[in-house]
Amino acid sequence: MSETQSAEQAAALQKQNCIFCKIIKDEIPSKKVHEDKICVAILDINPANEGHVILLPKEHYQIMPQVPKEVIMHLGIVSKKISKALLISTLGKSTSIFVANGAVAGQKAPHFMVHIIPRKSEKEFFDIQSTTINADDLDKVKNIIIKKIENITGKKIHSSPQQIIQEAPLPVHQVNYQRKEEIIPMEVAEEKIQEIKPLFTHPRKISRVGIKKEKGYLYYIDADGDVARVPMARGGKKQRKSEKVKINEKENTESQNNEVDNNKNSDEDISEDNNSNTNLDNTSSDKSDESTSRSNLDDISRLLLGGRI
Amino acid sequence: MTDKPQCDICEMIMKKDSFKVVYEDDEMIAMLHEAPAFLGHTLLIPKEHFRIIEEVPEKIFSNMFNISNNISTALFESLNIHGTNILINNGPEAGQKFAHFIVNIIPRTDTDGINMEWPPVKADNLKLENTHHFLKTYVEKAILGDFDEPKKITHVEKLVENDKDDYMVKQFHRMP
Repeated sequence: MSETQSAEQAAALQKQNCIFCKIIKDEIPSKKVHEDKICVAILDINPANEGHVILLPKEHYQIMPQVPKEVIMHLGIVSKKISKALLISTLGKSTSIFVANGAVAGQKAPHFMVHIIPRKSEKEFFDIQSTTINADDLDKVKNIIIKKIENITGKKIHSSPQQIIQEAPLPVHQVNYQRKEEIIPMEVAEEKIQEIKPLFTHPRKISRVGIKKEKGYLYYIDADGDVARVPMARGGKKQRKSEKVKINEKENTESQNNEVDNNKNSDEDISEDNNSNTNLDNTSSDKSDESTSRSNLDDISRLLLGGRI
Repeated sequence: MTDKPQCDICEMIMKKDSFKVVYEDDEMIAMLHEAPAFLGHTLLIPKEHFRIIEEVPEKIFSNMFNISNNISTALFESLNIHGTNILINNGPEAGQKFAHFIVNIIPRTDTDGINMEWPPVKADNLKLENTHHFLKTYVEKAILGDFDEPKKITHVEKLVENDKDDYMVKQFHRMP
């Protein structure tokens, strides 16, 4: 009992005295280059090269086997991105990613960290020499290691001859997703429709107002917002004058206030007028207008894509 | 994995039965180095051909980092060693010998004679400040993904083709 207490106390003491935990909490000043919920990246005070970055998890883990899987995976992704940043900033032509587990391996503090070092030449450090070994020794080592790896990862490796000891299944990482659905009030939505309207109403206005298009004329909307037409020249050089198309008074006022009115209201009025008029080219399209004018916000996305409902 | 081996390492992966494989799954394979720094030196290699860490997708690399942790633990518990090193040589100036991405997992003891230290030099505070200001913007952009290759979007091109033929939009092009 006392032994475990002293071990826990020792661990707690170590955590208190850990320099890197203090750096993470900003009790000791440091040059931070990146910070997020899981990890912190700082510049090393005793660098191997200019731009030597140390990546630390915020939680205190003494050695790598203690670090949980998700944190390791996140550290891997961030170290990959920092390596890219170092390359693009031209602090080094290559990078080394280095982890030391154990004092013998070069671990200087009891807080797990990943070193990302820009490199200028291969002879600076990390120069691994090859040694010759016995083939039998290699076989023995392989058989010893392979069982242990199967135990830890839980994956069967086909070249291993013996049975696997199945471990308990790994805990599932539960994440609570909360979707933030933006509730757009109807007034704002209608304003949005009106903003988009002027771009795409030109051909629709002409059809909606109920003008019968005559051959040989180009119909367009002039500066006042009225429908106007110009006789189309077929190889002729004369510039012909444009004339405004006469339409009913009701519809004229509506056409002037087109940009202010609601989609719904204008469509309802026009539908009444259209029913009274006998000159109707595009009845089917008007009816489709009616049905779609009462539709919801889904159409905004379709408008943005193609301009057609 | 393509049929043709794109480098010597890819050939090695295809002939994996003649090597000492310690771990294998769909994305990667780990085998013992035959001229190691220390007996038990393992190479963790992705099965697909990637040359440097920037080419390896995030999903695969995060799995590889996790498996290298597992292999390091296994080495520590089964062999008589005092520590391990995980080393990635990313580029020729870092000592990369083959044009294929490799993670080295090296067992360490106190009498192995391997030197992984760098000469301790205390940095000048002013120089450190400059490096900090210089590097911080690059790291921020890298984390956001600004340096990644943009993904190809094909659906927008199709819409544009449709629009050209549409009689309603054609009028736009004819407007004076």
